[in-house]
Amino acid sequence: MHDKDMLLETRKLSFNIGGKNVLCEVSAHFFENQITAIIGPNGSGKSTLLSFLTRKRVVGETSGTDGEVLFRGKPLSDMSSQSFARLAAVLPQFHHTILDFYVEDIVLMGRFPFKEKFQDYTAEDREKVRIAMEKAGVSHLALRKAGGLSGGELQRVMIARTLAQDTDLLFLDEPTNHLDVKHKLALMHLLRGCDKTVVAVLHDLSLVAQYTDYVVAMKDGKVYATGKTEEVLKPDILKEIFEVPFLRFEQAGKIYLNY
Amino acid sequence: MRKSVFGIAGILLVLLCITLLLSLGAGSVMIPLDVVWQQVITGFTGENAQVSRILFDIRLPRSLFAAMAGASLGLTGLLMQTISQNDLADPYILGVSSGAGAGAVICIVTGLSTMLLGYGVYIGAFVGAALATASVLLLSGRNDNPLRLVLMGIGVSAIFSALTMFAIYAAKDEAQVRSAMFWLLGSLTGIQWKVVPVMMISLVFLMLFCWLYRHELDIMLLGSEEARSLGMSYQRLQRMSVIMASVSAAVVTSIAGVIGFVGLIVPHMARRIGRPDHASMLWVTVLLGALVMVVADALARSLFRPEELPIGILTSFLGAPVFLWIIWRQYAR
Repeated sequence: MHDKDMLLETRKLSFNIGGKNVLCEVSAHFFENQITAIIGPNGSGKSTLLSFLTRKRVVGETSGTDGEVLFRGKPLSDMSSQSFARLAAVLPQFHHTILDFYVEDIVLMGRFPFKEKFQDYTAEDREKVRIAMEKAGVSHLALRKAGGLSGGELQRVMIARTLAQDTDLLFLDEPTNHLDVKHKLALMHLLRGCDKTVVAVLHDLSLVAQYTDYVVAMKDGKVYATGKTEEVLKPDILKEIFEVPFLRFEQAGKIYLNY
Repeated sequence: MRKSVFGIAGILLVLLCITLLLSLGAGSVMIPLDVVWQQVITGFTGENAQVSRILFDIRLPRSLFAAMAGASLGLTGLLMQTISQNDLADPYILGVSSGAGAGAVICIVTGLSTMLLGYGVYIGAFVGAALATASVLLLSGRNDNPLRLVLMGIGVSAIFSALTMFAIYAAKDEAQVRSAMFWLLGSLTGIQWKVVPVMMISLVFLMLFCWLYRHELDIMLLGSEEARSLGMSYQRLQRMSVIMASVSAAVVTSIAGVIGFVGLIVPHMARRIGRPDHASMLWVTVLLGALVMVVADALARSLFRPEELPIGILTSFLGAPVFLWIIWRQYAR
């Protein structure tokens, strides 16, 4: 059915908090070097699903869980948190800002998983930080304090920190939060061109349509539809998920959505 | 702009040396600077044997202790602020001072202080501090929420404070009450050479810890979730830091009582003049803490000559306005 290598998958993943099924038998696949979007209305379990993929929650350890999360066919929980951090970078939806830290020092924290114990960051680390800041468009903010930045600037600093980790796998929870149109497109373009496996929770369906390969569409803690982006982003499916009517038209191989 | 930490540390180091020298002259007997200098360069074997004795036996250990205690309190304060992710944390926030206070006062009131080779109060205070810290750690259990940790500290602190009050209330004679009060106020009177090595070892360990874990402590500021996603074992570092900070605070408190505000203000001042990362903060906090404490101690023993003010009162009097000013500036927006 699929021609790509599967990197990560969940099998019948369920999660129950206080009698409420936040996730219900979620089976989803994430393919190597592809961009997969997780979409769905508020409270449909997108971030919760991401929390299991990023080991923030672990099947068995977290109470009320059932099912499997596999990385290259092996349980994700087998991996140590450091080896996972060397493999995957996470951009959280809400991040903790250390107000009086300099931007360059915050981005440098992305290199922490690679640092030897009791050692300093190396010249190579600093070079990767420089490149990441350039890609995220925050080089000019390097010597500013985080407390003085706007929401969008801060979001780009966090993106730079995620990129500085330089991992093959990226998890992004609403990465376009606070970003203006120009920076939204720049980010999606960057992800498109970087040859990494990306799993992103996204709200902006036109970005999903234009920049992602696969979609996992969720509703009420269940996977409502999943597959290639052009197969999932159909007006009848979207109407069922988001409860508003959609219009779709294609031009020069690109999908445009309107609601 | 990027500031040079070495420059700032260099200036502070020079200031500290000058202050140490000046502080030797201050006290119930004022000794002129040229005499102090002449004594220092001759290794305290100057012509006037009595002055040599005052300087070497009484003032030098005291000033050195003050410097190291200030450095230790500043760094402990920084560590506690990092652990609790709260700018208002000080070395005593997890109940170390209340524990030490209860231990010391109970020793004084029960007469235990005269036993144990005269080290009774020190040992009592240290045991009390250890009990308080152990209770906080036990109560927090496997939960790594910093706010929960701080609130546990406040609760445990209240219990030990009540115990202290009870011990004072139950004291039989007035001399014991006075002695207990004096201890609680914090004082460097009677510091002798014998306690200097303990203070030094404790400070060296604390600095070594902060240096080795400087990057981990930076990451800790991100909170447990992000720290974990960067592959750091948050709770392990939290535990180690709590123990390290508590032991350091307990050493100072056992010897000199509760000296307030130094551990709260010094990290704030250091953040303003240097860089906020732990590698830089370490040096600036240590030097600034030492400087503040040496000045405070010199003032405490010379302001009301020949009487001496307990240093705890002085640091609060001087520290509170500085603290208010910092908060005023910081939250101006």
